[in-house]
Amino acid sequence: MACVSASVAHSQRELLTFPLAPAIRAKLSSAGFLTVADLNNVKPSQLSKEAGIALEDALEVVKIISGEGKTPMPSQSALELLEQEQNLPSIVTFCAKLDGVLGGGVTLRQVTEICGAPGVGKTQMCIQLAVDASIPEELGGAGGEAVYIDTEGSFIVERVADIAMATADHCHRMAASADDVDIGNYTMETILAGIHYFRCHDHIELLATIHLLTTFVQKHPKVRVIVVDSIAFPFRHNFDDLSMRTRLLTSMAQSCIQLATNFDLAVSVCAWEMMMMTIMMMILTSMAQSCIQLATNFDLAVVLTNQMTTRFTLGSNGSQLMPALGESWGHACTVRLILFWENSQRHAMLYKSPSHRETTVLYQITTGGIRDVISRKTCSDHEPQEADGTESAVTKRPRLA
Amino acid sequence: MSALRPWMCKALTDKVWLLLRDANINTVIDFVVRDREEIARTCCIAYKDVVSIGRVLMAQFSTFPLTGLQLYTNIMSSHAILSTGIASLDELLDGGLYAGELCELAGEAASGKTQVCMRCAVTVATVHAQNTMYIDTCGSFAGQNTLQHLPGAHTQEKTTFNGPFFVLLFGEMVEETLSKINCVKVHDIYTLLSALDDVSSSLKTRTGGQHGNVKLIVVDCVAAIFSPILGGQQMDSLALIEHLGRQLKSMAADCSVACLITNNLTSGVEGECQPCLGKVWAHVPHTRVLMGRDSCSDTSRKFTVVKSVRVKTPVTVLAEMNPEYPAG
Repeated sequence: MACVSASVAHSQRELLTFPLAPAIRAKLSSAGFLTVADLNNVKPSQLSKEAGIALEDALEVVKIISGEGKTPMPSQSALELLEQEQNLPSIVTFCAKLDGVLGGGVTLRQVTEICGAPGVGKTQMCIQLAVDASIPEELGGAGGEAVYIDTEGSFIVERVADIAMATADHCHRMAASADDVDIGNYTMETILAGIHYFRCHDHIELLATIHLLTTFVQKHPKVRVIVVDSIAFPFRHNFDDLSMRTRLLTSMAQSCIQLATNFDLAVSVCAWEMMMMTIMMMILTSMAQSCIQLATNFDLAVVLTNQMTTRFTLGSNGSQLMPALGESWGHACTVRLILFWENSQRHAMLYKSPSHRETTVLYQITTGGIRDVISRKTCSDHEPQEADGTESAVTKRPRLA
Repeated sequence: MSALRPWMCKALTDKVWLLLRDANINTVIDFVVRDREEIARTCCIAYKDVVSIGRVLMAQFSTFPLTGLQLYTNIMSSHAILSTGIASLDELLDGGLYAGELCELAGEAASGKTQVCMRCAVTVATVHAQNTMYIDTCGSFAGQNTLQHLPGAHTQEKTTFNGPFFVLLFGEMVEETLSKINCVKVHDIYTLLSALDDVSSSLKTRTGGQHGNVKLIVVDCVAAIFSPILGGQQMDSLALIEHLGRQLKSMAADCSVACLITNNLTSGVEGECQPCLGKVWAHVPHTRVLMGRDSCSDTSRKFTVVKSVRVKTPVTVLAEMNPEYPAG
């Protein structure tokens, strides 16, 4: 094992800035090793003796500091990025207006969050995107596969089959109308075979799944979209017994009050709630970071759904509906799309985007999936508008007044 | 301070070093705080040697005094004020972003922080013909977006921005501008620190290349890096926040670059909005600007300076953000 290599040997960079274990770093700093320059020409055996750490640890330290096995961080100019972006397909929603707002569909390399009240079509949107990831490259699609992480149990495979069938039909029609485009064997079966479904029951499973996705995506390089439906559910319901949680909290509050009165202490009770919140926030934000990392490293789109919650504000405003999981989470995703009902029509509002301005558009959900709203006069007959009674999604009505 | 190594100075021979180690004197600090005579007595080293080692160590680890005049001449030679590309924001900041200083932009989600950062990067590339290092932690930097901020972009039809047609149209100008903006995507604090270290070492040694000529460093955003490690049992995160602040400040001063960082605004305990990372971070930026949406118009934003060494605080201005109708 070589010493720290010459290129980094004279750096005054502090050891604090390397991902070393805190216990080892404490031993190193008490032995006087504070910067990279201090480790110059120090052999691992010598380091282990002087700092009083195991030889394996010393080897590990030297390895981390000299940056072995780590590829240098690529820095790219905006021009290179632009050229790459222009070659990347986006994943269409099949609602032309919505695609226009999003800049051609859901963008790869970005994290898109879809928020909305129950029944407004978040899951339908997700299924549509998972199916649309498979649209052949010949037709301008991504021609890839999808990862679908379901936390709510709302992934109904019959519904997916419907949307996949409609998509396959549509693509074959498009291929037939265009000359010399052959999309070969593109059927409902091939689409469904390209959707990898994970069912996560709680936040721990979700976290573990998202962290293991890197290896999964490496094994399945055709994956172009990762859908998480929904991110909020396990975090809003992660306690099996809500009354137990309340009991614990109130008993904690009681003992705090007891402490405070008996010993003249000031105990801030909301701090307990805050503590639990910070741990949740840590998990959420680290998940957001791994999503962004996946999106950039593997050129794929990440789509998350979020629930809506009511925020009460003191004063004249009263309450308003807003995405759940709080403000810190609001910063985490790149694109935020809010779905809502108005005049018994479905609306999609682009609320946050680094590249496109805020806009609101209409969309509808048909048997075949997400579509543009077509006014009665121009309604073409090949779009199946009428339900045949067995489709639950078509007959979905706004549940909120 | 650093460990004592043999041959740090002439009198510190291998033998003396071993003697010092036996007396449990491992670091420079251990040496400095001990009494010289005591060291000479307990370690059986000549008093003359101990004094000479002490003198050399002091000289090595001290800094040099500078006169006010020298500082002033240095500042004047490396002085630069970079325009943000938004006229009223420039005015609010007394000219724009100052080289050697950190400016923080804090705002709620979707308030336009990334837009301001991109506008700055493009302006620095076009107006000042300098390079920008853009460190992106939340995956929001895209080449497509920078196009919108190019001067003259607003006079063209919107459809021409998409696709290679635009590049054909403005070919050279676009290529030259965009190649002046370098982007690194980082996802944790250690890679952020090593990216900054790379930039500062290549700026100090003037090796040129990709990081040469960098005049603006953008970190968008700092809170996204720290949120996953703040709280719970992790004691290091505060030290790392402190370290990032120190590194950015010393880089800004040593290499005379301007730093623009963004931070998130979230509701605090009493329900009012405050920037993340708390009091430890609050003293790091030289200038702190809060930005938010304006209730009257969708495209304009409100900027409020809450901390500054130059201008009276707090001052608020409204600025038009829409790239198609630039302010001024």
